[in-house]
This record gives sequence, structure tokens and C-alpha cells, in this order.
Amino acid sequence: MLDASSTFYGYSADVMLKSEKGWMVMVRTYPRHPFWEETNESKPMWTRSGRYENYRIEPEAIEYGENFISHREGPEATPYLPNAIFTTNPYVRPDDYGIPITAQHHDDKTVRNIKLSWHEIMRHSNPLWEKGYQFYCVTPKTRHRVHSQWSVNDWVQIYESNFGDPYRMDKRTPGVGEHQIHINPQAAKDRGINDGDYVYVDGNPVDRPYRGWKPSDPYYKVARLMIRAKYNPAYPYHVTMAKHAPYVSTAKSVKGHETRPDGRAIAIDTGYQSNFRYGAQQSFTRNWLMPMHQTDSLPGKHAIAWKFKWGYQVDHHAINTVPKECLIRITKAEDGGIGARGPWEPVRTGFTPGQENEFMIKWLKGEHIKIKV
Amino acid sequence: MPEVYNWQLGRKMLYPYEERHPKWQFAFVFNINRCLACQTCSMADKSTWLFSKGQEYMWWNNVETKPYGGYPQFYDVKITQLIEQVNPGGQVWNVRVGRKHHAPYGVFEGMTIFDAGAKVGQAAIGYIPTDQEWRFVNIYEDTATSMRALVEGIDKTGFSRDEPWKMTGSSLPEHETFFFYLQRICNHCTYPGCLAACPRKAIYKRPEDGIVLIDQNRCRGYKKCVEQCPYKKPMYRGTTRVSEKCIACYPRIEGKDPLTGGEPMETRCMAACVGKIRMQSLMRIGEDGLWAEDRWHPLYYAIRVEQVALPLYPQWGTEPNGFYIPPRHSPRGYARQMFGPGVDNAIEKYLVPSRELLAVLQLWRASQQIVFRYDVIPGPKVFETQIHGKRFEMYNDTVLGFNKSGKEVARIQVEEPIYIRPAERVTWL
Repeated sequence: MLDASSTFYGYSADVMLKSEKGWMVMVRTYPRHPFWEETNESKPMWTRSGRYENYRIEPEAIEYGENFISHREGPEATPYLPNAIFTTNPYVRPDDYGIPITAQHHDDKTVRNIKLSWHEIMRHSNPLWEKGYQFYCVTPKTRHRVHSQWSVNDWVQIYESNFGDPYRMDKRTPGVGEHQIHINPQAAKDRGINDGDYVYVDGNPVDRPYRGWKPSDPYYKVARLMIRAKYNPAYPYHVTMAKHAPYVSTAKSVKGHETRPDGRAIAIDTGYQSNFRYGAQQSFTRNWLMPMHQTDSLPGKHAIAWKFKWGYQVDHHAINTVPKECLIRITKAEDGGIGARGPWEPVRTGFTPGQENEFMIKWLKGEHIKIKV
Repeated sequence: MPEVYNWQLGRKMLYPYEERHPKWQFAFVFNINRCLACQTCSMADKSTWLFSKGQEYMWWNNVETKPYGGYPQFYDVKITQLIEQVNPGGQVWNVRVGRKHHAPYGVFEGMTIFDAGAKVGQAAIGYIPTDQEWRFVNIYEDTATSMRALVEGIDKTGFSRDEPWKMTGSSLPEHETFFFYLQRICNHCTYPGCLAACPRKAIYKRPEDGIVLIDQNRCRGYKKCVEQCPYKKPMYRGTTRVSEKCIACYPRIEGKDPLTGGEPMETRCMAACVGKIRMQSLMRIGEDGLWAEDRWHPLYYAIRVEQVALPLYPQWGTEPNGFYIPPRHSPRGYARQMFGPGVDNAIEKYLVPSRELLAVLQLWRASQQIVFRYDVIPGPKVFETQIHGKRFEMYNDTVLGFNKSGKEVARIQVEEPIYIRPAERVTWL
């Protein structure tokens, strides 16, 4: 175990256990000082030339249009042409493998490498956008969990969203809390969505929630995301956010939700608890495999040692990925109030974002205290 | 009704009981600017004291996002509204007057919860939150205001497909779009609203450390403390039919934790703080009932000398013993409403700290034992710059912290030392 960890590689358990002193777990320095060896000990960079490389000479890099640093437009979350390399540099000469610029299948548009000027990229619309999928959905990490770990811990569920309630007064709630999507209040209002309402979130219908889905499939209900909306004026009009890696709905958790007297989204036989009533983050996301991450021929630093290594390395070249920002469509599903009757209770106070009454606006401006100078 | 002196208001005020002070007073300073809202404090508290039946909804310690968050929901907006109804437009600070020591922030000429309570025939004005309002402890986490939307009535400014470069953001010194985290435990007030409200006299302030406790045997669960504590920190427990509240981990304050060998130790929520925002101590009370001058006490220095840390909602009149270094980016009007007129000075002091303040700020979470005194060993000048047009010099001073017995329990320097893994422990190519 020690030898498989970069912080312990080269240390011996015997020596540490027999020693009187404490041992600090660290990489090369604490606090972390990147490139310590290169800047303080005259060691070469972990590249072919031993220098910091602004230009990659490998044929793979040239083929993918990654020989120079340039911006790649999002593979899906853009109103413009997806996945185009934005540059006018003549030395960037990517291969599009003959896939036409208009190709829309996720695999096609994420595999091809094309280079355009920004004005050309902007001239092409993303057809998804034109079809009403006009919200970016970003799926960042949450401070309350580590990926999906502790997603259904009670106290974590209670703190994770606007809807944590140990007594589950609203029996629709899948557990003692549930997942949420942050949305700009005006964007929500324009679509008839109130703070705390349940909404449907749909991704690109070509392959989401799954390939070949039909509204009449019994499984479609399990796979299509239904989630609580949360007003947050921090988000620009077209940007939404749902934290990543909650526990997904399964056929059994949906069955539990619909048949248990308490309404919890829990599988009756296994006890599996979902963070959703229906669907999941995976209902609307797809991965993005960056071409340079799919090589096993390039050099670099060994993942767990200060060694040079050629070829395949875990976390450098393995085909693993997280879902990328996607375009979504949001439509109202149910009212937010208990039992789907009327608005979610806090909204009725006049103190909530996007629906402030006169008193609250004065309070936000700090006008309920006056200073005589 | 008797009159008591409240130094945070710079004046005497009505209170149901005569002025009486403990020997020492539990106090703390939270640096809002450093908080990451990880809720480790909340979980430390919950897992120590609040895991039993009837306590499911309780969080004696919670961290809420201001301005929309609050536990229970909107408690501070509602208290402000209740006082406003009794005293419309009258919540005024007079900063033209004020003696330096007895009225550091000027004189508050408006109504406290006790003044407003007298108008409605109660010890203090308040309300009992409904069961629904105790739900959603982390409501509106990370939710910002949009002042432009409030002013213009509509917010489509966030995205412009044709002219994305025309989108504008906020910039210092004040962010018009803002939020920040407010960390809350019981303030163990000098003049507690809960104590004033209790018809059974079941609530008391310990003479040895000023910690406010509810006697679980005397309490009959009338919920008057829940109603009249403006910070809403007493909570009713249905399974015992009595109320309970933050006990400031008093066994630790008494030195009962085996780890410190009898020396006073900071509470669970303090010791667990990941962002190193929290420091807690005991303040010696003088003859006049104010904190006795204690120049080399880190909290006395921060609160009374530099005045970089301020009480939460001082205008409510309970003289809370929790203090906050205000968020440096917040609109000042909102911050003054929350921390009083000392906000501008506090932010200025924090933005461009004096040599001594910068050293003392390193003590936050440098020890689990309660620090009663500090000392600074001068170090060399390591950095110099301009911050908002002001000259700032950084010295790598070393600050020492001493426990109640005068033993050194913390030694830390301004610049974090760098540890290097020796080359013989690195497996090279």
C-alpha cells in the first residue's frame, strides 16, 4: 500500500513504526509547491525535451489539433458550434476524419477535430439550442460529500439542499432531503416555474435519458429527471447548476416511492435510498473524452513516483471521465407546496430571492438601521 | 424595570433583572472572511450533543448563508420587522457621541428587544417559530442577492449572446451582488433574552464563566425562551417537554477533557474548525461589569483595542458575547445593519492589518487549549505593498499563545514554514 502511494513511495513501514518521531505525509513539499524539483534542484521537466513545452511535436497532438494551446468550445453546452477548436493559427491542422461539420450525434461531434475562427464558430448555431434546450447545466462538486460518498447520510441530506427536513413534512421528499437545481429567478419565472417547484429536466433527446427511449416505456419514468428548482440570483439567465454524484433513482427506489406509505424513495428489498424521486444527474449528462487523454504513447511523470514514464498511465490515459456541462430543457412538473398544492411555503413570506417584498428589499439594502454622523 | 449598562449600545437600557456579572465571560471571535461553510462545526456539535430522539431538528451550531439563509427561516428579518412595527424608522445609531471605552461604537438611540417588549407587555419582543420554520436548516446556501435585479425589476443581464463582453460583474470595495456565511452558536449574552423571558427562572448565567444554561429540572417547557431569544438558539424538545440550548461544551471549559490535563479547552465547534476562522476564550470581568483591561489577551486585543471584531445585531440589546470580523466585500449598509456602525473601521483594519494584528490573527486555531495571553517575537520584514492606496508591510513575526496557567500552548509565525521531503526519500528515475 505504501509503495502505491506517491506520498509514501520509498518509505518503509518498519522504519516509521520503530521511529520515535512523527512522520508528515507530504508530496515533495508542504505546503504544496508545484515544480519544486524543476525550480530548486535543476531537474528536467517530465517532457520529451526536458523543458516546459508550449508546442507538442507528437503526431497525435497535431492530428487532434492540440499541438498549440487553444480553446475548444464545449462539446455540448454552447449556443454555437460544439467542440470546435477556436484558433486561426496556421500550424494547428486537425483531422476531422471526414465527419461533416453539421454532424449532430454526440459521438460524431465529440470525435471530430475542427478548427475555426470565432466568427465562424458563432455563425453556426447549436441545433439543440434552437430546439429549446437553452440552459447550461453545470455539475460541480459539493462541499458536503466526496463524489457520491455519504449522499444518503441523514445529516448530509439535511444540509445538502433547500429541502432538508428530518420529519419529512412533505411526503414527496425522497429522503430527509433531496437534490435541487439552481436557476436564475427570472429565467424560472419566464417558464412559469416557482421557487421550490418540481421540474422536469431533459437533455439531448437523441440519447438521453437513454438511447431509444419512448414516453410509453415503464422505465422512462425511472430515468427522466424530476427535481426541485431553487431560485438563485447568483446564476446568469441561461446557467443552471446541480451538484454532481447523488444516488440515482432505480426501478426499485421509484417503486418504493410510489408504494410505501411514507413515500420514501427506498428499495424495499435492499434498503437502497435514492436522492431523487425520479431520474438522476445521469439523466441529462454525457461524458466528454478529450482526445489527448486517450493516447497511450506519450511521456510524462510516473503517477506514483518521481520517474519518467512512457505510455499508458492510470488517470492520464484511462478512458474514465466525469459528465460534462450539458444543454438542458426545464419544464414545470408539480407545485412546490406540501402535497403539490400551491407554492413552496417559504416563498409565501416575501423574504425569498426574486420575490422580495418591500420590507425585504429595504432589509437587503441595510435601510433598517440609520447612522447619525 | 431596572436599568443596566450595555457597552455595545453605549448606554443604559431596560432589563428585567439588576445588573450582575460573572467572574469570567465566555466569548469568541469568528472571522467570516475565512469560512468555507463546510459545516464541520455543525456536525461536531450535532454528533456530540444532538443525536437523540426529539433533537432531530436541532442544530445548536449552524452556518447560514446571508442574506437569505437563516435557521430558523428568516429569524433576523422577522425580529427586525417586529421592532420596526413598534418603532418605525427609529433604529438609529448616534456616532457623534460616545466615550471611547464605555461606548466604542457610539450610542444606539433606537429600541432594543426589551424596549420594544415593554410596549407589547412582554419582557422582550419575539415570536415562536413554527415547526415549518425550523425545517431547511441550510436554506438558500450560496444564494446571492441581485441588487441590479431589485432596482431594475428584471434580471436578464447575466447573458448576452450578441455582446457577451458587455456583461459586468461586481468589484471591491463593495460587491452589489453578494453573499457570505454567518456562523452561529448561542452568544451567551450578558443580558440574555431567554433568561429575561423565563417565567420559571430556570435559565441562569454561571457565575464562573458566564455560560447561559437552562436548568432541565426547573424548566416546564413554556417556550418563552424560544419566543424571546432574538437569535433563536433555545430549542424545545418534544420528547422531554422542556427546552434546551448550546451549553458551550462546559465540561471542556472546566478542563474536564483528559487531553488538556485540567486546563480550559475550546468547545467542539471551535476545535473542529477547518477554515481556522474560530477562536474562543474567557474574558475577565472588572469591577464596573465591563471586560477588565487585558491588553495581551488576543480576544480583548481584537475586540476592544483594534475593534476588528464586532457583535452580531448589537441593536437587539442582549450584549452578545460572540464577535465577528465582518465580510470585507459586503455592501456596508447591510453589514452595519448586522454588526453596527463599527463596520467601516473593522473592515479597514482587516484589509490592511497592523503588524501586531497580523501576528495575533495567526493564533486562530493554533491551539485546542484556551489562550489567555499572547506575546510577539519580532521577525524580519518579508514583504511590502500597497493595499487600496495604503502602505502595507509584512513582518515574519512569531506569535506565542499561553494557557490559563501561563504555559506556552501555541507558537506560530506569520509566514507558513515550508517542509521539504528530503531527496533521499524521493525515488528518482
